[in-house]
Amino acid sequence: MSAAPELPTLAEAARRIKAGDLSPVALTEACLDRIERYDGQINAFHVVLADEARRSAAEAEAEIRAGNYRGPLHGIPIGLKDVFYFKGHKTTASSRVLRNFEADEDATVITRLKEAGAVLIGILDTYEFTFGGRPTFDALYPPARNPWDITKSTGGSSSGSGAAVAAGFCLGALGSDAGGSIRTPAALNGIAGMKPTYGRVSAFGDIPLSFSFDCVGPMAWTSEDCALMLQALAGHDPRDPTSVDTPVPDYISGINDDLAGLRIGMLRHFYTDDFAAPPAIVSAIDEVGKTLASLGAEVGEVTVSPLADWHAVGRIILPAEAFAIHEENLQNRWQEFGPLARNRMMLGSLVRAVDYIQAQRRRTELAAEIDAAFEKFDIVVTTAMLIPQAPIDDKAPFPFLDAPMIVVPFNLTLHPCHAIRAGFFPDGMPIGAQIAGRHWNEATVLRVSHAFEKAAGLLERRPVMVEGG
Amino acid sequence: MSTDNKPIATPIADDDAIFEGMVRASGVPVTDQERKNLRTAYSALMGMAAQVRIPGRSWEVRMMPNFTPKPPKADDPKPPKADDPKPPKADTQ
Repeated sequence: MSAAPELPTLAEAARRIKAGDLSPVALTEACLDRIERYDGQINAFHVVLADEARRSAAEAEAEIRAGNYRGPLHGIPIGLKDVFYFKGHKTTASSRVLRNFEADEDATVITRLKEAGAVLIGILDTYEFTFGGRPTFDALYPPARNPWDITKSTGGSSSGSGAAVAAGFCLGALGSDAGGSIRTPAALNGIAGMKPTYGRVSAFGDIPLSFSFDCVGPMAWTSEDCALMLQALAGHDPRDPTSVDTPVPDYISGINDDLAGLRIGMLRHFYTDDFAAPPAIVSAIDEVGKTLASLGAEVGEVTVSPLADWHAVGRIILPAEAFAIHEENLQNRWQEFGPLARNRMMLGSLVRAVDYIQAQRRRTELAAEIDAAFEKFDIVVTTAMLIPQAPIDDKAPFPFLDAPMIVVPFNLTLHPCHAIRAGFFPDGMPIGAQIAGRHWNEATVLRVSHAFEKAAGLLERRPVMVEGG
Repeated sequence: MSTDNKPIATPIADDDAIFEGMVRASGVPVTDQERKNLRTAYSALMGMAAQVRIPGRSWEVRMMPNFTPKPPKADDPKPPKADDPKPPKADTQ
């Protein structure tokens, strides 16, 4: 059994690699060894690129020894969600529809990781075509399991990314988020995950789910790790028409600045009045506010429209766009979809054009409410989950009927939003919070998150896993 | 114009005939069980479709996202000039 105490965070590993105290080859071997011992139970990987990773780690080590250190991702093992074009490899989105699809170029984010010298260690599980909800057993690959308890859901759709980072199979992973698909698995697996401002990170080569929501971002053990990854990933890309040509700030230099005078708005009614979250969640998220206050922030409360209004908008737009994107395959190759993913997308065919447009107009109104909140506050905090991790074999065809989507508001508003570990349920499963900031201000989101993580001291605990499978 | 922001209460198209027509229009085959599950979800969806409508909403409330072309850059090879000839007027006679 292992709780992985020997694994450094991405930031620690980067410092040690730069100083010559840690070998990228040894670090990569440690990750491959853990994958070999535990992924039979976890199913985080579709493909482990052991040989390529070893070669890449050896190259990184030689470059660094020769004085050609590229930066904090040089020699760091990173996993890739199976939705990014990756030349020479299949990109399946965990769907039989794409079982033989191989792009002839890399997604921009993969190009940037390669340029940063990262060791690409393998291709990670996703819900079929990234459609969230709950995991299914009817896709191309079996679902990833939560390393904290393999009978529980990882959340999704970046399920393999969340599980792999939590299990210590890699020090960071790429995720994508159209309806919480980075933040939900980050929260449910007890790690950190950043959905940047829409347009901050190129989505070129990311198999789409929703044109008006899709974002790509980092997932890692800590917020500092995510900052290091985001620094490499962010920036304008003319191949993505939604990518915005705006300067990328330094996410690291100010990450340890204090929080004195920063204004934090707690968005409590989402998890207290609009939906009665369990006491452990309420207490953990409220504690985030208290901790930030103890660090010098001014903490108040934000009130916006009820969560059900946000949920309604997201639930109309997301499946409608997903159905439009996949319509041809749904009509002609419907047998190749897993029934649950197919039916979740089918819901989009039942949305009329006028419903879609009215939802987009309501989205405008709701976005204005959050913009107004950001006139008063620098950061908004709420929960990243309303219910505990569901059983992995939960077969609810439409989970949104059970609980509203707590992560969708910041997809609607396009703000940067980051999930962090905020506490634990009595049974030891992690609880996550969302930290949102103004458009383009990921730096303050990461600074606040990092300050909380340091003060709360919740990140020492790692999942205990069993070998085999 | 009304300033009452109460959402419309009645689901707009939560109707068996409309549901069946839209499933058929999708062109995607569904089993009986899937149809039953979808029908339940469709009712919830139409409740949400009612919820996103605000009575008396101004037509100045436009839809997201915004469709605005990016301004030309300084190094654009053919930036627009003030003295460019204007396009001919459409004949509206």
